[in-house]
Amino acid sequence: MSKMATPTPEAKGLRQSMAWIHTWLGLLAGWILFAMFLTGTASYFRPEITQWMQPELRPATVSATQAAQTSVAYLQATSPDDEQWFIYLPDDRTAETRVFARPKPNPDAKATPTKRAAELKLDPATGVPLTARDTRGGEHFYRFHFQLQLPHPWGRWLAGLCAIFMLATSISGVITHKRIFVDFFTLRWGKGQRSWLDAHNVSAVLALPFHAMITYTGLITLVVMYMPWPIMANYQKPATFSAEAYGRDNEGEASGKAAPLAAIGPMMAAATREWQGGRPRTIIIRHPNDAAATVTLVQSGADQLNARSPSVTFSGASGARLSGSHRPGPAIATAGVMLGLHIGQYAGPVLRWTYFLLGLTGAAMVGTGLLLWTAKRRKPGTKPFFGFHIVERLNIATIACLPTGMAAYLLANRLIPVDISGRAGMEVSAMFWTWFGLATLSVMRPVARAWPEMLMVSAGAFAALPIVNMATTQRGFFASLMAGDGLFIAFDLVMVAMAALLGFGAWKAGQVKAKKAPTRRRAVSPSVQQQVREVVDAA
Amino acid sequence: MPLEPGLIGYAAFASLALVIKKHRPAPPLPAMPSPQVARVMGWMLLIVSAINAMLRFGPAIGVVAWIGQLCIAGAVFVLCLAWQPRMALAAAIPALVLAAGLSLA
Repeated sequence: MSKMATPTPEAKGLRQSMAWIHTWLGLLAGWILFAMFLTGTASYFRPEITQWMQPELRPATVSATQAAQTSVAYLQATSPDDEQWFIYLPDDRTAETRVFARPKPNPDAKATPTKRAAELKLDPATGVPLTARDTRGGEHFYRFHFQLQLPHPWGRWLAGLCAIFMLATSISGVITHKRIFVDFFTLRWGKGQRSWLDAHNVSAVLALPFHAMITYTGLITLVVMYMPWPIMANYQKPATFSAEAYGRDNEGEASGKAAPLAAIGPMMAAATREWQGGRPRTIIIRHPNDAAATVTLVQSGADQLNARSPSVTFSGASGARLSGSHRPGPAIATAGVMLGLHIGQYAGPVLRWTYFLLGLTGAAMVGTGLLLWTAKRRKPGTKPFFGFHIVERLNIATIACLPTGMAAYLLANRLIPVDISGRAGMEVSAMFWTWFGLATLSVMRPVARAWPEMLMVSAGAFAALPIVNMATTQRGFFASLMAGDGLFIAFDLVMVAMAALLGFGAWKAGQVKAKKAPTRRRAVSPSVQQQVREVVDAA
Repeated sequence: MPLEPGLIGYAAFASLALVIKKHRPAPPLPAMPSPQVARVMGWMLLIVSAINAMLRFGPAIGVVAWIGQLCIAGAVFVLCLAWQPRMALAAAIPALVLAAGLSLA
């Protein structure tokens, strides 16, 4: 940075071209990035959101071993002849066991393929199937974050393109920013464009390690999709690559000889010993009740930075340890840690909240950047050009209306009847209809009114959530407080905090527009002109 | 709750802000360090915060937790500094006391 500060002509040229890149790439990707940041931030609480969206599920907490035993017993009773069982054990963040059974392929090739059985939720204590309202839960925000509700593979491509733009704007932003250290703590309120620049700088610079990490690791997560050529050049089939990189799955055939499945408890204990206290999260049982049955235990991602968890395989008949997952090479281990850093599944409560707040900082950085673009180009007394209107409207549609859409998704979960069919899809539709509907409505209002109004609507939607939750479930705020239900208490508090934040934004937006005329007149005074020159310089 | 890295980080940023002339409050705060002392103090506190994070979270996750909590502490400090500069700077003392309390608890 200090090298960049030397006022040679070349340096100035570099900074100007970087400023151009920063401005235009940032603008192009900004709206999608804002949505990606906001939904990605929510995704740090993916299991919690899912729990909140199925309030009728309140299974008692039992040990993982008991949950494994009850779910194996359930699968033995319902589908003992299946090819494969998948069991996802409950943990600190998921209350119920999820099971999924894959039947044997029909030997008659012409027969219609057997329909995939749906995933079931079981009570960990008893192994009895649980029924709850159909919802996509936190999974929806998570999927939207990188698939953008577009058909495969376009969503992922678009998300990747935006991430590349984000990476480019991060680097060009650092080069453009002349006074990173001098202005490190500088945030001045109520000074129009100067304030937006300060807010953009502060949210970007203070959380720069997070922004750089999250953008880069996000890209790396899908790198095999974005850049398939190294693998294509070196491997005949991509499957060969994954087998070499991640180790081969145990694809052993069934022997056809029946043998009872060994007890799961001792295998779990053995795996935990092998992982030095790491807990198993997923159990995969191949060919249950066959002499060649295998039981693979996969370690929980909550115990380690690397998101690709090791596994250990036991013989289903004897319970003896057969093999452990092969130790990943340095490249795969690095990729796993990068993925782990991005999704933060390893993070305990404190670190998870840190991630959440950092994600909000990211959304703030993108949002203030978008607002800065318009603030810089708003010339008093002149008619703004056409593109300016588009940017201004898209800013309102994204920054002020998307939060309402997300709140509408949660509200729809409480308001759509529990047993209606297709309700999970209706919840998702509620988010987009609300978002785009309000965005359309906002176009019909003057800009000065649209900002406070739309922000007020979103504040209202978030404020309504605790009330609607109290009215439609047994788990309202006071009931949760009495029951010591931390998740539901925290959820309500976060909703109120979001409402307060958006309400504050609405109030400020209303104020700014109200005293617009005096600020404009002041802008003619020399000292402010000086400031403006400073701003133009810095940006 | 292992919040000490962030709390110490807050105090570190408050110290480092006192190095910059425009952030030094006009009637000085009681017992306000000089810019030179504030700079040394700020960097020392950052190191202490790093050590604390390593001890609390282990080396691998400690680095992540340290940087993450520093980022949040910095953002909180700047917001407070813009709103109530004197209070924001003075809050470094209670932040340190709280951090000491948490690490003993």
